Amino acid sequence: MNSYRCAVLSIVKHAYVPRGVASHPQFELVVVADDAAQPDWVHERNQRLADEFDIPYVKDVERAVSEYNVQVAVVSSEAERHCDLSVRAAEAGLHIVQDKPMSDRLSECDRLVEAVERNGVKFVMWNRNFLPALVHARQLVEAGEIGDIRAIHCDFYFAKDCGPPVGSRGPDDPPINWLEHQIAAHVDGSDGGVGREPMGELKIEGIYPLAYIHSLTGAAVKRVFARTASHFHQVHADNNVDDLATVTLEMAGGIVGTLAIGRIGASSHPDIGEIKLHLTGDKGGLVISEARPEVGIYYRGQPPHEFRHQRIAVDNDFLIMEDFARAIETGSETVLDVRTGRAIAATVEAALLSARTNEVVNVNSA
Amino acid sequence: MTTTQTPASLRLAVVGNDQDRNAMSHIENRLSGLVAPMLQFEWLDDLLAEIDSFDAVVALPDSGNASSAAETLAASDKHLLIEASILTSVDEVSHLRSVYEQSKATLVASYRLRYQAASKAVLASLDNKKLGRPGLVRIHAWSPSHPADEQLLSLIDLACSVFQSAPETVWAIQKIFGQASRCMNLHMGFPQNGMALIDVSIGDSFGAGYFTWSVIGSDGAAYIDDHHDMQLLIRDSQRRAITAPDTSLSILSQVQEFLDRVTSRREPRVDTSDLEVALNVAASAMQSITTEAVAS
Repeated sequence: MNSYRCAVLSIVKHAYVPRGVASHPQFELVVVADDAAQPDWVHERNQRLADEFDIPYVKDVERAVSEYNVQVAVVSSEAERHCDLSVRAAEAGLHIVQDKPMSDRLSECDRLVEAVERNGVKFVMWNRNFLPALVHARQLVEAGEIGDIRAIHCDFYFAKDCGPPVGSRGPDDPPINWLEHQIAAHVDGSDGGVGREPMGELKIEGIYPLAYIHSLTGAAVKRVFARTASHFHQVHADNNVDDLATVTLEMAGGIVGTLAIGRIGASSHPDIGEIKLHLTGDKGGLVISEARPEVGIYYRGQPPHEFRHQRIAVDNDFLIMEDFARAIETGSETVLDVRTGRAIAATVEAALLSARTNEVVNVNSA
Repeated sequence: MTTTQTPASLRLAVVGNDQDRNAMSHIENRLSGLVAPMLQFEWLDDLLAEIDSFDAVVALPDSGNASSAAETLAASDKHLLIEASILTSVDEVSHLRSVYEQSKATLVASYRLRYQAASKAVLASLDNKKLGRPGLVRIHAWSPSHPADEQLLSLIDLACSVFQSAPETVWAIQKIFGQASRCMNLHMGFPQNGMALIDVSIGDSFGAGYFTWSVIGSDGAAYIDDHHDMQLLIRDSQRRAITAPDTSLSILSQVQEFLDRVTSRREPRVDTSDLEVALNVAASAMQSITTEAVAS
């Protein structure tokens, strides 16, 4: 069994990606690295992960890569640096595990596709495609239980808060600074959009449901129509980004898709949020709850924010990395490869343009 | 034209299909403002032959030509509740409204879907401001052979009832797979950035059907889902997920509101506005499908 030494290239968000990588016995985190010019808060977070895993933190990406004999880069920086770090890793011949979103700019995604393919390395975007419900859904679809897919619909609501509610800013209050808010949100892990560029939920989290849709249909998105709103949180309104969005997808093969996504607030669901898939085919329909299987656990003194329903049999992290190892060793594609990630980023970009123009928009298929 | 004096208790006639009339007979003793027993007719033409024997009519699906019967009913100042899914054209509704505006009787056209127990609970939560400002309505309705146009209209009405407004924009896609199978997707934009997605899928393989809808508000959300409400039947080595049939409570609620409106002389006396909104949205959807552009 091969083993792979991994360099974590910046870890400014909650550390689910490097921890997920390390959950697989073939992958070992050996160093954390970042550019020396990064601000102090970035270095502090990098150092924290290095301390957690008892590995060194090197403020020089290229030196860390060359000195620590690594084969894999784990990139979890601010979104606007994702592609740059991944391109540098690809140029160094490293396989790449990258956090979402792929980037805040499609041009950066294109640069990454080119670098990954030219250097012949493997790439995986972090995803949830191996959650038990999704694995089961794929099995049912592949077994032909609903026949050829005609339509697929995904609800993806995260019942988390994100600062004060919309409308709470006083007339003399300044708008909430995006980066400062995201840095502060690290405490409760709701800093998925950390970076200088404000990003809405569609851009931050859209990768997950769109990856579901891709994994179940394999169909490219051709055209989109979308609506977006800053419906819940003042930080989204102040920075003119969405926290609620709907997208209609016209896909190859005549498949119709829709996506409803939002950071709907902690009061809107007793658990992490309503996440469901509805599929119709020429032989029937399929309704999938992403949360299942789950166990209800209730007890006296239960903290109000503890989920009452706990997901069970979740092996997503291990299975992503198992798939990644297989891709490295056999040359197969990963569960969410660089071209699929780029296609999803293009779909999101088209949807945001559609929402601004109120028109149907073709997806840039590169 | 005869003079209408709204009686304290109404003599009610019901016309329509067996199933709905049967439901009405089950709730008869639970309706207030009503002189029992109700008269029952299969067809509107039969009902018109006994026009002096009732004060108000509940017209249910499969009862015949409502437009022509409405002229006679309005001329005789007979109050009329019409299940809105019967009416599928704007011209028909305009005619109906016109003849009733010339009468002294009450005309209400409403969709029963609004009166289902789940719908009432959600709409009450919105009225009570528990959910805050509505932002998103999501509906899936899968059925084997229900007339798609009628179903679509009631779903549009449900979405509009949440926002208490007509949509500003409509984007629609329709896919037809032979005579008995099709799907339609409506994507609507409402004032204040509200949005709604409606998926209507028709196909023989959908059997008993499936229905779910949800409302995402600024302070809360509501989820109604056959998937959640199903019971499990285990028999002959097979597991079947089953839902309870809609009870007669929805028709009770719909008819009682009509009776209350008549007896209290609540305005507007002639109310087809919700129906007209739904029909106009459906027309916009057809326009969007035809032109492949966003309709507004």
